[in-house]
Amino acid sequence: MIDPVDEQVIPVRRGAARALIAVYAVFAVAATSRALYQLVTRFGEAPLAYALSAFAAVLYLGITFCLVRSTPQTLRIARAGIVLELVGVLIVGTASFVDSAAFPRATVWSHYGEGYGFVPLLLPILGLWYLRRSGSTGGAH
Amino acid sequence: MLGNTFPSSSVATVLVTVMLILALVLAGFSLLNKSVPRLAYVVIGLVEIGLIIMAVISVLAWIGGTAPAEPVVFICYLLACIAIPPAIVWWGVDEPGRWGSGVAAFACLTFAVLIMRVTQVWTGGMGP
Repeated sequence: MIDPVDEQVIPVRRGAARALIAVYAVFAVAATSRALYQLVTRFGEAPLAYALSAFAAVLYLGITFCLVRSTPQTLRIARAGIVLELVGVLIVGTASFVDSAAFPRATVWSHYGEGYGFVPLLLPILGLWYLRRSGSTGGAH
Repeated sequence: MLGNTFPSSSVATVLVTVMLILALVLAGFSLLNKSVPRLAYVVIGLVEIGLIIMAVISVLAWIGGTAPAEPVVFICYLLACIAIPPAIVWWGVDEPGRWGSGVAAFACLTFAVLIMRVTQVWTGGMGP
């Protein structure tokens, strides 16, 4: 029999995790296809921006994979990846304002993800909040 | 080919408007911890039909000689759009409560943005 307390808690937690994975998966697919297209067709136009797009794509793919696996070890990797993602958004976002000449073409993270409704900035914050709250990484205990 | 108008821009406008409204409504349902309402599935079904009409009009215009500015990107975005409504139904049925309607709201928003991108890459107004 299922404990009534578990019945209350687990579906929500499972739902939140799945929702987070869904958003990461969308960004993984979007960033990967975009980066592939940019790299194949017009890498020369903005090598730095397009290389960063590819880096973001790999990161999103990795985090999605780790969140899906959801073992203590992959969740630790996911948390490290999400921290890297947050740092990336902040650095690229700031750099794209300060030195716009280096970013003649947009990346996922330009202007803190403005082209994607600032979701790229919110996503790592939500991700870290979720991982902390779920306590699965061991850090919260 | 710059300056082409999108052949079915009125359909696109309706689709974007409907999905933005639906995204707001579903976000409200998510905040209230309610599942995706049945009526939303009807709207999503109609949107999918509208999208197919839009796709057919575009392809006919393409055959007729007005090609999109970014053919590959156009096709990819269009295919992604076609996949979203079934994905929303699958997710909404499978996941009750706020995380079902929340993800559905996010998907509706993604759909609206993708449709706007579809029209942009047709006219060539903005690069990928």
